[in-house]
Amino acid sequence: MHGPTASIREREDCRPDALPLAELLAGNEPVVLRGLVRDWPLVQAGSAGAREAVTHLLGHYNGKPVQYSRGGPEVAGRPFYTPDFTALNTELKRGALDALLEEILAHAGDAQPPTWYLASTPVDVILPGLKAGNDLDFASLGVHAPPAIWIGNRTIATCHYDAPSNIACVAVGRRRFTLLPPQQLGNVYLGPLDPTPGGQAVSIADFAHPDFVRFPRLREALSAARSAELAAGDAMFIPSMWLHQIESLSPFNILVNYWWSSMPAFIPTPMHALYHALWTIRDRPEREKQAWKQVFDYYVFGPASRAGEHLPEQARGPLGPIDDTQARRLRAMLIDKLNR
Amino acid sequence: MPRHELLNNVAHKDLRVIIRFGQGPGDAAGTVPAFPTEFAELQREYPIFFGKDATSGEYSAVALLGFDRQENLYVRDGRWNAAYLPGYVARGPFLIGFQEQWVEGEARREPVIHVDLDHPAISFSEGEAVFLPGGGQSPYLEHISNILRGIRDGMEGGKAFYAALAAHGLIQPMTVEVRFDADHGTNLTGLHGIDRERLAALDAAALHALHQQGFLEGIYLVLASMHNMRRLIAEKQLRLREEAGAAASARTG
Repeated sequence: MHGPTASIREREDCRPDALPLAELLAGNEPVVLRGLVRDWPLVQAGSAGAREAVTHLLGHYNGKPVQYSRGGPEVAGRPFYTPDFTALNTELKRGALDALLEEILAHAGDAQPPTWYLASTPVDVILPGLKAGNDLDFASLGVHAPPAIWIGNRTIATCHYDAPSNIACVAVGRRRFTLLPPQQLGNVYLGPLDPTPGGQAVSIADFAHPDFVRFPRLREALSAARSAELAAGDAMFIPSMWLHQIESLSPFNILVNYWWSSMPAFIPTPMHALYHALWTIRDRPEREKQAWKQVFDYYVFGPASRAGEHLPEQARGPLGPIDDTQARRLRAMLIDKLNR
Repeated sequence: MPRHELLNNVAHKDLRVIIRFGQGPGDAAGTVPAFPTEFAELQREYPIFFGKDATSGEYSAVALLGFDRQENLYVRDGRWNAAYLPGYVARGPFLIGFQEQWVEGEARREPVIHVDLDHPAISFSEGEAVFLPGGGQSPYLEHISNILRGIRDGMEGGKAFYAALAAHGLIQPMTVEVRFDADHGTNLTGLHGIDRERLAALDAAALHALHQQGFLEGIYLVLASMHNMRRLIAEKQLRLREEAGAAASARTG
């Protein structure tokens, strides 16, 4: 990492059955939740050794195949791109979880092992029963946040953002989290929208060996970065849209994370709107773009009620609050208009 | 050789399909695969039989089009003379393919549309456009999607249907002897049909089970389809008379 980075606020008073979600969301800042899951049986097993953690996991494995990335030793733990950025430097593989875990353990002592990375796999799909004892209680807060598990050796999830809010729990191994506020988006040199190593566009700049000639704005990004190292049992709250890079530092690592959305299911991802805007707005003459910016500010980015409040309720249509019915109408209208 | 490609609006943007019959696979065939999802439509115009796979022993339905392997009595001068076109034919050069996609940590078989670019109905200058000028789906492609969906559902649901019929011994080999006129006739072999006597002998529990599974209707639709044999024979007789007339005028001319 380039230069010293600022630290992240820490709390030690959080418990899996009393998550301070409202506070965390209101703070809109990353927070280290030290020891949040230290009592998880998986964490306890892992503290005795990687083999013990594997045994605990496999006790809940239902035998379903899993999908994971594998890279040669040259990938050096960084699932990324081939030099021309049209393909990934890792291969997507499918197989049994027990075989994958054995492979990782067999190479745990290698100086330059192959890279294995099972990313973001729903716990309930492959490890039913793991949740009993190894869980955060979102349900009692009325929040739907099913856990996902991440397993690998030394790997880097390169700097990217996610739309949902996130609590990432380090279950086995040590992890370094580097976070940047959403305002730094333009300074991290994001890569292609497709393909991506993990579903989201990632920075193509190497934070560990920053090339400021090629990526001059990266200086500003790194100066705004905050970083923390987490041990097994610790967790990190990553606010929605914050850029984050996560390095797993041990020969064997497990993370369990919870994503939750602030919006009901009938509000889809803004990525559709982004693609649509790239298509319909970006290449217009500057004067038109500026006018459209004002249009969007008026309808979208200002107060939610602004464009509809001077109209009678029954005449507002999509200018009023979007409910399930309105969402259906919008979807039908867009499908029809797009099919040209 | 078929050349199958995953249909997409970039590689196949100018693709058109000529709706004309007599050249495609299935156009000059005595039978076409039929699917339970289309029995209600088929039974108005086509006799429905069952074929038995020689290796697996599994049954599947066919619509009878003619009295020998290459004879399609529904096609004349490039036109298909029926109100309903069997889905197997109506799909034209399109096929269902499956793509394994990894969604939410699980493999899912997602149906996709493939096109056979060597199919004789393929064109780039005439016929029905597959895509709209901007790359959207044409009404023709939406129609094809519906047909393919029906075929997929019919194939999946059909397995249980045929298995239930076989379990009750309702599918039996049939020998169909047909006389067209004093000199012409044929024996259709290899076809299976519903055994009316066994159906009549089913007890209340068996009938109730078939009804609950939604299979009873299919059984009666297949039985009802048999009256279309008369239509097929009439068409064959007409063609035989036309051939005889043509031969006679050739001799005198």
